[in-house]
Amino acid sequence: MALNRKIAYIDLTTGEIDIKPIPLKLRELYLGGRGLDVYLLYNHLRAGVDALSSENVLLVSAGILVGTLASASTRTHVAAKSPLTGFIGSSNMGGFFAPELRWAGFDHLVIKGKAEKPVYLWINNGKIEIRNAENIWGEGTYNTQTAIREELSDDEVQIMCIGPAGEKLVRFANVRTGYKNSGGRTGMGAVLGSKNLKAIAVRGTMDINIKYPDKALEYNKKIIDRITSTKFCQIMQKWGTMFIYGVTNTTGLVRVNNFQLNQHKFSEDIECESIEKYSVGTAGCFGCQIHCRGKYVIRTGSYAGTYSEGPEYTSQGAFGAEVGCRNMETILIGNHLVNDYGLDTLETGSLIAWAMELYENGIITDRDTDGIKLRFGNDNAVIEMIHKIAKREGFGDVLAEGPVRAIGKIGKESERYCIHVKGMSNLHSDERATPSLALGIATASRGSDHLRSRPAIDLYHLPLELLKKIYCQPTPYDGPLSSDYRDYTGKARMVQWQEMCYEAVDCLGVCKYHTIFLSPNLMNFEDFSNFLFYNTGLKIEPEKIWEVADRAYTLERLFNIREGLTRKDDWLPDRYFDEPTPLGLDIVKGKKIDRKKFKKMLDEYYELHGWDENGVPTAEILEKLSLDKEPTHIL
Amino acid sequence: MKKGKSREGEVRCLNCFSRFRPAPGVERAFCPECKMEWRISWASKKTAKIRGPVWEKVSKE
Repeated sequence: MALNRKIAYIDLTTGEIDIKPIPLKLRELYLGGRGLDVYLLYNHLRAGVDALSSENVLLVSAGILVGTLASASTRTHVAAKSPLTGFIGSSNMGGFFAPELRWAGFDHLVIKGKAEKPVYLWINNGKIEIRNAENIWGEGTYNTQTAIREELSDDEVQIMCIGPAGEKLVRFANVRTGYKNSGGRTGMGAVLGSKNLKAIAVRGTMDINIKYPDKALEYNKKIIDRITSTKFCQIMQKWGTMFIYGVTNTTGLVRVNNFQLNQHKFSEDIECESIEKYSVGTAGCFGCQIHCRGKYVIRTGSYAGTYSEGPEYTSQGAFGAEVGCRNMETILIGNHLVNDYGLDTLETGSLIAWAMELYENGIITDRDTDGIKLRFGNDNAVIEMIHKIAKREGFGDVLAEGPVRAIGKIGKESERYCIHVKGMSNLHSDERATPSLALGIATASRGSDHLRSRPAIDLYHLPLELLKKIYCQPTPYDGPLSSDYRDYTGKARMVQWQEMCYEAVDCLGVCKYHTIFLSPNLMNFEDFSNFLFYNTGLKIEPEKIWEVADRAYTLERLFNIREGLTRKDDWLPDRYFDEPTPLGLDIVKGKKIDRKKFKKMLDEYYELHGWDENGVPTAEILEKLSLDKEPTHIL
Repeated sequence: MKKGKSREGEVRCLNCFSRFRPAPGVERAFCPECKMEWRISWASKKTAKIRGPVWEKVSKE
């Protein structure tokens, strides 16, 4: 059945491996994926450890619906203490790794210690082996995967791995599977690197028995019809997330030249439509009909003929708008390089953009940058800095430390220019005109982030009746809502609701693009409940799925508090409050976040969660969510 | 899928949020409500999207 997958404890120091079943009680409390991972992290990690030491605990998991008949049930979750932020490290990726992990018999891996020499894990039909990886240490993520498949003589093996950036302990190195799918944020690649763990290879042929296959298939068909009939899906199928750039840049919701402008004028060459001359099709992840993953070939220059996948909206910003570049090939090369080095594209671009503003203001000079002219629009400098960051060479070594430590090295005067929250850089979006999006990045558990709570549909000016239908269930909410994205009214509820929605799908292992993220017509808590029942037999009502999400999110909060988080960390950089947007449509121009209103919105957000005025969960909410006795060490 | 009036070929003006239907295949269209001119692109013959503004007309700085 779908609930019989195991958990494996792997000690890389001693080589010991222990395999256990997962108790049903924990399934009911956390489901799987991100939810059960935070439980394991909270229980197995001692507070205050160095994230790059052997004491950190690395978790790799599949959501509870992964590999079943639920649409896009594909997601892998990776967790540890983050070497970038010092708070929770948590990252999620698509592709085919997680289904293969489940077919190999496992849902969760708990990896401790540090191998003496580079190794990779080979997991095959219930067995786990630690193998030598010295021959692939130093290889990029593309070659690493090819080499492991050749060594195992099996092209069907799925692999998640790190590139040179993870080996060099770049604090925002990520993990990769395939060409492009990445557990992108919070530096999980550096944690693998610190453990001398180059990769995890999986292959399995163990069936996942579906509880009610006919019902599951029928329900999935309905969901597929719903998804493919949306305009969102039809556009994503052609251009992937790159389509978002046209909307946000037109409106004036994009960070340009770090944070100086909010619209990238005359930038037609980096709009999604301009990818078409490089595109060689699109691909999808396991069980998905959207197929939003672009495939492309670079046509000219020193990278001519190079194949890669992407880019996403994040890379358009990272190597386009944020750094003031207007050349699609710069984006495609940058995207290819971060894919192969194993770097977080978003953090990389943001830090380069920050350095450019420092350079143009004379805070850093040629002496700091090894002579690289870090001026906005300098395409070559962007590419050169990507190499230097990945290899920790020269000024790249400073940026490889991430925002907080880099500020410490460059000096206090650089801090104002750095756009980060909790030590993690923001997406290239400009939230000064959108309070709901601003609250989301300020409060997201893993640092400034758009994938933990962003109410993106707030930008659609949806009618109030529809907002009520979405945001007033499955738990009651009778407060105000507003269709105006510039408003502060009711936005705390929208952020909280999206947090619960994204947490729930991360526990299930389903892609966010199948939920109410970029379209209001997609899956909600009722669908999650039905999918769970038909595929696994677990009957958990929609409001209880919300409770699972709330439990897991609150435990992430407890983890962060244990690592030193306070209310001050749920705040935005000063520039959001002090500098009005200079460009954009008239409805957006001149906007900045109002400190007083933002503070009130933050208070509302805490109250909705049952947290006190300092953002600390109250005894009542901990008891309600059965968190009052954590850590319980059941697993 | 929302029942009732078909929204095939429609776009939503990013300036005033009203919906309008550009003529099939056109690369530019005016919002009938606020008169803003948009560049239009087509994901398919029936699926239009706003590509962006006509920069020359919005660029005053």
